[in-house]
Amino acid sequence: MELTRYEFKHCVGAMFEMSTTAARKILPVHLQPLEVQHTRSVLAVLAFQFTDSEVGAYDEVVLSVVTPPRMEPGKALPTAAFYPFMLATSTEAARRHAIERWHLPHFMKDLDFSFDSSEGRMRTRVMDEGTPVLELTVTEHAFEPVTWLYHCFMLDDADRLKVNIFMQAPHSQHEEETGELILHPHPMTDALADADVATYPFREEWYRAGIQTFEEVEHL
Amino acid sequence: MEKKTGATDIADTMAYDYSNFYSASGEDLFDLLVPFQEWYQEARPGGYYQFELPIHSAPSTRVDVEDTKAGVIRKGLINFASYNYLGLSYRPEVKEAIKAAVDRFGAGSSGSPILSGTTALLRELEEKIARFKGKEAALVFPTGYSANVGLIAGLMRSGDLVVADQFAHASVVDGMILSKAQSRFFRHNKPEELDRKLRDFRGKKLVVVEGVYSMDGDLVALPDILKVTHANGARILIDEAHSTFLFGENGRGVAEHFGLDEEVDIHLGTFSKSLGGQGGFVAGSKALIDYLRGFSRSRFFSCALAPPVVAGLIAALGIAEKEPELRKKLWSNVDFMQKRLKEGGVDTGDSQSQVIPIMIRNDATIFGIGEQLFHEGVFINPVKYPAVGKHKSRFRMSISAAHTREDLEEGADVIIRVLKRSGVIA
Repeated sequence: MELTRYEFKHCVGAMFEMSTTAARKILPVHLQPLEVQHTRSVLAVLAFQFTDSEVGAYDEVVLSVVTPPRMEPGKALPTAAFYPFMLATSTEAARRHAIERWHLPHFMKDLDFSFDSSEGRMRTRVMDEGTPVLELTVTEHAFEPVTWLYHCFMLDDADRLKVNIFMQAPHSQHEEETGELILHPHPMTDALADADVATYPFREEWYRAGIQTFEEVEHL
Repeated sequence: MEKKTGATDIADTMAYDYSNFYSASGEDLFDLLVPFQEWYQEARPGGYYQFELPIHSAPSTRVDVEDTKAGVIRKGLINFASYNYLGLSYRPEVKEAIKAAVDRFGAGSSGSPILSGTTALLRELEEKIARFKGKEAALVFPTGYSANVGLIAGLMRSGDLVVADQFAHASVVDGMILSKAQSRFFRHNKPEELDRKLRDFRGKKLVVVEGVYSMDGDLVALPDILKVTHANGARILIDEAHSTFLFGENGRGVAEHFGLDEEVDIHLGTFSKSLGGQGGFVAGSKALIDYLRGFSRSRFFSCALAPPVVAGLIAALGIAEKEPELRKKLWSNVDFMQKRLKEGGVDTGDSQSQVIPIMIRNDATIFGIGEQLFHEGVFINPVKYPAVGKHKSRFRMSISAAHTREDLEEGADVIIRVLKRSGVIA
C-alpha cells in the first residue's frame, strides 16, 4: 500500500458542540453526525503547522463534523471519524495536492496563519489578507506518545470515499474547557452561521512534533 | 501500520474505551459487536473487571466483594462504594417490616399502579413522603430513573424547552429525549449561561438541576439559578436523589437547606440511597401529581413497587424522621474524612457533601490504583471517561452515617498510602 506522510511541528485541535440539525445539513446523506448530547453534535477544528511533505512546508486549518467511524470486523480499530467540510492552506501547492489526492473541499485562496505558543497555551489565528477568519486557543495537559487511527470521509460528486489517517506524536488531551473559538463572518465559516457553535471546547488536543500518515483512498 | 483489533499489546487496548464502540457507520447492525468483543476480552482483565463486582454481604460499612479477576472473595472491605448514606437498609426495624409485608402480600405487586398494583402500603408511602416533604401530594415510581423519565416526558411536549445543567443525570437526558421538547444544557452551575439559553425562547420552559451532583458532590447554586428561572418565566425541577433525607433542617433536601423549598416547583427524590431501598418519587402540588398520574408512562407501564420494598421504605422513612442524629453523624463523618484526606494531600475536588471524589485525573492509571485499593481493603468505585470528562477520572467515595471513626481512619490511611505509592500525591 502506498503511504503519504506529512511531518508537523504542531497540530492543535478542539471539539465544540454544534446543532445536530446544522451538522446534518453539512453531511452527505450516507453519514450521520455523532450526538454527544441530545440534539448536539461536534464541530472539530484542527490547525496544522506542517514542516515537511511532498509539497513542502505549509499551514492548514480543517473544519470537520465528527461522525461515527466505520467499524469493520478484522480491521484496525479507529479512535474517531470525521467529515472535513472546509479546509484552507497557506500555499496553493498544498491546496491542489489535497484536492487531487484526497478530494478534500477547500477555500480557494491562500490564507495567513499565526501560531503563538506560551505558558501551555497555543493561539492560532487564520487571516484572509488581514481579515480575521477564525481564532482557536488550545491549552495543554500531560503529553503521552500515541499512534492513533482516524477515519476521514470524503465525497467526490456521488463517490463515497474514506481514507485512514494515522497520527503519531506526543499527544495531550483534556476536557477542562479552558480553550476558545472565535468564528468571524467569512465564506469559510458560512456553513456554521446558524449552527449554534459553542465558544468553548469540550475537548482540547495538542500533538507535538509528529507524523501524519495517509493510507490509500477507499471507495465505500 | 495496520493495527488489528484484539491487539496483543494491552497498552493499546486500554487506550480505547466504551465511547469508541458507541456507534458505527456501515449497514450491518452487528458490525460493532465483533470489534467490541475483541476489545472487551482484553479490557476486562485490564481493569474493567472492577465494574459490576458481585457483593456477597449487605451493603454495610464493611462488605465482602468477589474479585472476579483473582477468583476469590475479599472479605470485610471498608465500603465507600454503596449509597447507604444513613445505614438504613439493614436496620432491624426495616428488615422486620419487610418480612411482615412478605407474609401479608408475597413477593410482588402483580400489576401496574394504574390497574391492580396499587397496594394500601404504596398509598401510605405516597402520603407519608408528601407529608415529609411538606407538599400536597407525591407519586412513587419503581426507580429514580423512571421518576425523571416519567416526569419530564409526562409534562413536556414538542415545542416546549427543557434546559438542564450539563451534569444532569442520564435519566434527565432520557426524559428530555422522550418528551420531544427542545433540549439545551447550560454550563454547570452558571446562572448567566442558563439565562442565555432561556431568554429568547417563547413558550413553556422547564429548568432541571440536581441538589447534589453525583460525580463531584457539589451543590446546585440554587439561589442564583432560581432568580434566573423566575425572571424568564420558567418552572424548575430539582432532582434531590443524593440530597433528600440529608440536607436541610428537617432533611427535606438542598432546597430546604437554601430556604427555598416553596420556590421550587417540582421536587424529585429517590429511595435507593439515603433510605437504602428502591424507587423514586415526585412531590408537588396535588394538581401536578394528579396530572402526572395520567401521563407518566414510565410509571403506569411498569409494575408497581413491590410491597415488601414499600414496607421497608415506610419503616426507613420513619427512622429518618425520628432520628435526626443520623444526619448529624453523617456530617460529622463527612467533615472528618474531608479534613483527613486534605491533610494527606488528596484532591477532593469541589465536594460539599457526602459524595467525595478522590481525584486522580489520569485515565491511564486509575484502574491500577483501583486494583491496589481493592487488594488493600477498600471497596470504592473508579469513574473514568466517558462517565466523566477525559482525565477527570476519580474514585467516587460515599460516606455513611454508619461508618465508625475506625472505618474512616483505616480507609483514609489506605487511600493516602496507595495514592502516595502511585505518585498521585507527594
